[in-house]
Amino acid sequence: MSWRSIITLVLLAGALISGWSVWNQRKKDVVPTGAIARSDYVLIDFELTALNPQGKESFTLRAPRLARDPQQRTMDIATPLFLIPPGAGAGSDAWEVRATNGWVSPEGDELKLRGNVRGVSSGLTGPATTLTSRELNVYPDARRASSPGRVEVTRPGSILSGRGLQLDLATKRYSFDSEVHHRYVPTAR
Amino acid sequence: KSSDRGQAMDIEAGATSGSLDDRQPTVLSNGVTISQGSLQIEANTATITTRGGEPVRAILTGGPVKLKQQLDDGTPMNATAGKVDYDLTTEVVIFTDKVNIQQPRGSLSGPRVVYNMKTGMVNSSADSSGRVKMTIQPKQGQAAPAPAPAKPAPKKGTN
Repeated sequence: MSWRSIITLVLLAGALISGWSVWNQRKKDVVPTGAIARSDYVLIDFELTALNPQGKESFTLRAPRLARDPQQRTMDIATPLFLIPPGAGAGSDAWEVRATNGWVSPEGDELKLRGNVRGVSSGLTGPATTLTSRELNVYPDARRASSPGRVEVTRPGSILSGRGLQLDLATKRYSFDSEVHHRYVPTAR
Repeated sequence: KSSDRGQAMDIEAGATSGSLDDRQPTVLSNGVTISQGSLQIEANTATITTRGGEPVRAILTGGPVKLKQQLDDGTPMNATAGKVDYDLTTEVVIFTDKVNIQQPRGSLSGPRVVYNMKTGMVNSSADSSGRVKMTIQPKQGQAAPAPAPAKPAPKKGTN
């Protein structure tokens, strides 16, 4: 057997093996993804008002699309706009919070906002405040927000940024646990 | 410099807490640096009170607090103290606890020094914990006064 035929045999075997593995792979991809990805309902261009256990408005949500996962009983939302009303306490502002994606927990007590998150306070009881980040978790009933990532808070004459935000939406008390930078720009005297 | 006050104030810190309105002071910790024009401050903690969103008072504590600033005549001023209370509206700074202020024209140390950034006036007071010590450097180029010339010996026979 000459070396030329040996090489031919080796190449033939290689072609057969790769063909078999491609065929094998193709079979796996076809497996149906199953019920997990299928929503039990989808809302298009809607407004939803969630009530807390006392029957009061917890938040109002407007978005072009919402899909509910029946297994997890959670909701995935495209470009959500959350309207969080002022809390019971005096000195509490209303907030508008937008993001690229939103996720709502089964009980509606936790909102996870991801991508271009932008929150604006109504400024009824103090300077209007704008909050921007890539990720923000909001707990409407507890009137609390937090973020593990970088957040920037802008008010007239001041820009505050840091990591690890904890914010009480009712009392407006906040804390950052690292990389704090605060810039005050004096207003014209 | 007197122009410092009109510039943006930048504060860096390891952690902070406060409120988004003026109801609570902002507390900064884990290493604080403040810069505003030529003014540079380093401290362990800072408590900043705001009014209308603007800082009006900063209380800094450190191990010690270090404060540097360039005066209007271009000369540097370096100060260290255990505590600094900076009133941003009157621009009066009260240094307490082992205060030491160094300037080319001299130095001042004591338990308590009040420094007016607008006028450059310095006022220090002693207390039971220590005395005030001031050193004033001679002006540049002014040689130390020459010793008085020796008196010529009196001539014989003259009265």
